[in-house]
Amino acid sequence: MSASEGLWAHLTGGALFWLTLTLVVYSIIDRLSLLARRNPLANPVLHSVWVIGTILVVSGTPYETYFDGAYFIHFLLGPATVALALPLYENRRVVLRSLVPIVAALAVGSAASIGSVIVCAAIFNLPAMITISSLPKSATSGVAMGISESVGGDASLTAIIVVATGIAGAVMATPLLNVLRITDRRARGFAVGLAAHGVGTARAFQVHPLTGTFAGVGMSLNGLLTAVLVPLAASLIGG
Amino acid sequence: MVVGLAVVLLCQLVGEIFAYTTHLPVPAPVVGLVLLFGFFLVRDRWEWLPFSLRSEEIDKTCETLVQQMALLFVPAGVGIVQRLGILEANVVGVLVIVLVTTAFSIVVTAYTFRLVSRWFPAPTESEE
Repeated sequence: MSASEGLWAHLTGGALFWLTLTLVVYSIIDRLSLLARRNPLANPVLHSVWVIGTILVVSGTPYETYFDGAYFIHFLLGPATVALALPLYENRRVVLRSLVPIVAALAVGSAASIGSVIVCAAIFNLPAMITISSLPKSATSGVAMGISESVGGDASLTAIIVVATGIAGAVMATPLLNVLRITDRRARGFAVGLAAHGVGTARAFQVHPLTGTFAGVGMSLNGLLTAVLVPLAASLIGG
Repeated sequence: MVVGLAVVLLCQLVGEIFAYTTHLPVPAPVVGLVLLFGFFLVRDRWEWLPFSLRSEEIDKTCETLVQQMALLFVPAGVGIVQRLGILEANVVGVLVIVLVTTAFSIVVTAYTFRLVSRWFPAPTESEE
């Protein structure tokens, strides 16, 4: 083994390399997304995932090795959810005034999300493991993984479907809501936060602080309701 | 930064204790969010709190976390390399679930919000 091969093996076996790589790749892609004027298709999560994924596959690195380093970033998902208290607090008056539409849209949206997964899974005859793991797909990663485990799903598969859902929602929300002529920032934000959790919320904050706040509200409330509804839905289809 | 992070983590920790001991299906970070919200309400009314709890530090930590939230989803997303087999075998169904049901949820939620806010208009100014 040559010296450079030894160094490569030493670095890629440790946490430092993969943590650094994640931050560097994301920083570059986020800058490119800014240059693309935050076009929804230039979603930083989407492009970071495939770039890093390709590096792992090409270098033959196991995901576990990568995750040992990236865990430091992953861990902050929980604190970031807690931190949504700040925009919520700053906009508490407008949120309180919208309480009735919030509760209505939460109940309908959350049920529609879970119900449509069951219907699509039945149409495409998906394996039960994928269906169960997809039920909490609109809840944020940490929350959804916990729910998935509690109903016998595959938490890792759930995490992937959750992030894919977030990316899909973040990419499609702006054009979709424009076509539907929904201009109310509260409705736009709440819908993208409920359906596409943190990735959608991050996108919503790029558009407008009020949109972002309502996305944060949608994401938090749907995290709660999904935790209640998914076990019910799972017992229904598993029963 | 340290005080801010400590307060945020403390809220999440209490959320974790709450979820564990009550066995309620509530996600710990969401309980933490409610607690931190309560903290902000209290902070702006009670002047006797120690200075470090009244400083802007906590707000700055929260701002940073919220602003950088997208980054935090990258490690879990990269997990796709682990499940390529099962996803490839069901690629059409999984794509439909990810794309169609997400679009459906956004549309249904936004329409419900708009419909109900017309029935119950906000007491004062309404958005654009």
